[in-house]
Amino acid sequence: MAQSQTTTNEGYGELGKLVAGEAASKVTSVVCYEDACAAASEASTYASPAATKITDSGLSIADADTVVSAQTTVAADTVQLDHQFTASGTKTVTGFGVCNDENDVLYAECCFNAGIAMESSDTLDVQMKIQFKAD
Amino acid sequence: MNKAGLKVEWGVAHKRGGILISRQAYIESPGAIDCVRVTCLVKYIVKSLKYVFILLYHRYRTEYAEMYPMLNIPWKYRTGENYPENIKDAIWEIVKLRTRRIITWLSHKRPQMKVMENSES
Repeated sequence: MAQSQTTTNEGYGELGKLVAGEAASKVTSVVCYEDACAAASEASTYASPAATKITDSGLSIADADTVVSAQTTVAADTVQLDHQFTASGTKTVTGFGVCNDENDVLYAECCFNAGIAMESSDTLDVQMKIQFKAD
Repeated sequence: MNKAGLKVEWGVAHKRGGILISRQAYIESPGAIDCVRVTCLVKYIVKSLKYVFILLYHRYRTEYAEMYPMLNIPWKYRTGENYPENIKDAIWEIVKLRTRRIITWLSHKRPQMKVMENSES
């Protein structure tokens, strides 16, 4: 297991629609992954992500606490998502993905260097930044 | 890997009772090679190796921190701060971590074995 992160092809499509003013929705939610998360891939989709989406234990898909624009290189060139999960059971989290409001498009995902062994009441603070003006 | 002009960065912190167990963060990859000279190629290989060893260090330190969440281990293994910044230091830290892991495992096994022996007698 090694870290990997990427935006996805279906995320590019959703972004294109958003900019064109067509039916699409913004980065809104976040979901944790379990099992082998070998490599985040552009080909990943919400239906078929890099690893298995967790559907219980407080680590399933949820609206993020905050999604705001931030500055990395130039003003507001980055979307920053922050969320805190609180586990209600035992799970090993291996990565996470960020999705749109309808929870049907995966914008980006990442796999961790090593799995995180969550127990009930543990918290997991996740943050993802998607920068549009990469150097 | 950053593609199509977009760059993804992430961070994650695992806490128990408000106390940090482990933290991981995105590490910048060396990026694609942009010249054809031999010196360039050598530099690229060195950069890539450094990236691999630093990732390995973070993997091992996170595994160690997650394996012993309630143990008093060096704080740098939980936070990922002060991580090695060259290949030599990264290899040395990896060796230290692997050794530390074995020692910790052994020191936590022995008392359990003694308890079992006592309970049998």
